[in-house]
Amino acid sequence: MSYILGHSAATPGWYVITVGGECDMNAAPSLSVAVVAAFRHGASTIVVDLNEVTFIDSTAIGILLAARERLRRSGGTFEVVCSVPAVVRVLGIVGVEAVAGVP
Amino acid sequence: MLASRERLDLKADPGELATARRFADAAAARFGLGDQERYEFTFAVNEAVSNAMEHGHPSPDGTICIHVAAENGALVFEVEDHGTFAPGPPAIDALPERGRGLAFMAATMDEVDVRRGTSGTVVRLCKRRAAA
Repeated sequence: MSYILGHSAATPGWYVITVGGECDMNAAPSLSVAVVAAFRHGASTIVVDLNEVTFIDSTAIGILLAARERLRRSGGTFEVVCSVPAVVRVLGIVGVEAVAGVP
Repeated sequence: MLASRERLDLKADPGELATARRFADAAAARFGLGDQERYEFTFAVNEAVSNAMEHGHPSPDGTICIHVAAENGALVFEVEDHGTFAPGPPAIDALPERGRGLAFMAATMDEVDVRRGTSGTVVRLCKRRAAA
């Protein structure tokens, strides 16, 4: 798994985490690092781009759910962007609605 | 076609999860699951093997044994570890996210069966072909 943490200078607080590859238990620490880094920078919106993900497990989904919960509590925004049908379906099991397209 | 029963021994190392997924995916393809069912099968297998690696104990030779078989028109997967499930104090850095694995298995499989015995734990997953 790989990730890129990006932000827009024009939109303070807006962060995008672009994830690629296989997100299994081995990838969880890296994904956590990306999310923690976004919050440390004061993220109020986090967009997670999963378009290049080929596999995602419950550990990675749990990290996304925790990020979503934290942003909800603070009035922020959390969004998942993904067009990979299998990944979208698995996310849907726990009520994470993925939006098609690019961030 | 899937041979009657196929077995793979994995090192009890999370780096082996990808190997378990390739094994499951290849079996699902030969069994003839559709794309969605195939992904769900591989997904559930990954959860079961992750749990065995994290909470279970490998056999004395350090391996975790996984099986696939076609049974009565369904694709069946089993993972066996030799953990006795005497839970110790939770690790301070334990990832609570892993507890979701069983719920995900239940959501994606037709049957999930966890048998805890004195010599270990067997998790059995069953996926039927989607109705045409």
